[in-house]
Amino acid sequence: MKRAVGWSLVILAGAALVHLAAVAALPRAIMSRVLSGLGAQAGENRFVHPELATAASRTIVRPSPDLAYSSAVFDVSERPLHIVVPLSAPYTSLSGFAANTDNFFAVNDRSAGGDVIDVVLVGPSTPRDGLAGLRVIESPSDRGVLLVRRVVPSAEAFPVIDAVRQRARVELR
Amino acid sequence: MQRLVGLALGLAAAIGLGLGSAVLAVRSGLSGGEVRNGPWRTSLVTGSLDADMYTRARVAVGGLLALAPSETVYWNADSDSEGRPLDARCDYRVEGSELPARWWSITAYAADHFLIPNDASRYSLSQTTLAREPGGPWTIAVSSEAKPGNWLPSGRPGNSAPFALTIRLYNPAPEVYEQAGALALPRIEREGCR
Repeated sequence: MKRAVGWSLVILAGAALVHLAAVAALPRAIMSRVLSGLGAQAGENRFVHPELATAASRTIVRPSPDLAYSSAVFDVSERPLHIVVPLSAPYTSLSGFAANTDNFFAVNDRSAGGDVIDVVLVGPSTPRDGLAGLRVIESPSDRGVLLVRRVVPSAEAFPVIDAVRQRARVELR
Repeated sequence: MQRLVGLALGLAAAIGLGLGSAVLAVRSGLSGGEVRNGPWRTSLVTGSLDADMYTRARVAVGGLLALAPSETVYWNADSDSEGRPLDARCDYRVEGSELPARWWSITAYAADHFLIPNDASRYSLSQTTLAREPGGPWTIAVSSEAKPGNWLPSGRPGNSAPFALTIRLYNPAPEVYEQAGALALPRIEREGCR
């Protein structure tokens, strides 16, 4: 009887460890798959501009059909990344997501301070030389995802907004 | 030999229990910062650095790359205002008014978290596409069958399938954080089922 109770406690303790490890690992595992999928489309440190989301869109869960997205897998392990995103009305934002899915920054058209969002991204391993005077964003991981969201208020507005988003650039410094 | 078999069974039980309970915890909504408002639910720590590991896991499964609430708040409903699960074989009337944000939209999603295929290729209605008096109240017919006016398809006609609605509030007003539970969000009324 004593032995059975002991075994049960060991199994429960093991189950608790597996439970915690699985929940903690899930975001990184899913993000890793997304990084591979997006990276396969355009490589790293380069924006891709997918069509407006439809029922056939399967890369990211819960896509917004009202947004024109631009996405890029970033890797700043060796050099900083210069990001320039021209703005479009009525709403534009640039956001960054770390390898554990955290949204570590977001800049929108109101907080951009000009006609474009112009920032430099660095991570834990990035050399920091020559960044004085620039708007520097710190990522908690060297790899992750950049995402630009642009509200498309009507189908008629899409061609103009699409032309603006094609001018978004990322470049290793 | 008997001892080895016992160890293997114990290990399998621990892994099974651990993984099973992890799946249940992520699916059942055990997360910090969650606020309920009628049929709508949101997490005010989604995407933020303060999110606990259950919130991170839930967002990774059902809302990856969601913005932190300071930029966008996402309200999700998978039941009507009476608490009955949303089902594509039923018709719903969603009634609301102007929402306190710079821009907002309402989108329908299938149970797999992707947009719902429909012949009209219509997946959402927004502040700028809803037919209404400027700034006035509005009504959306959510149905698998085409309706006049503000119609949001919930699936293919004749199919019974769970679905969910998501409200996105871009650049929300402070009251969205400060009074999230008391915010005037749309009602979801079931009108009938086929």
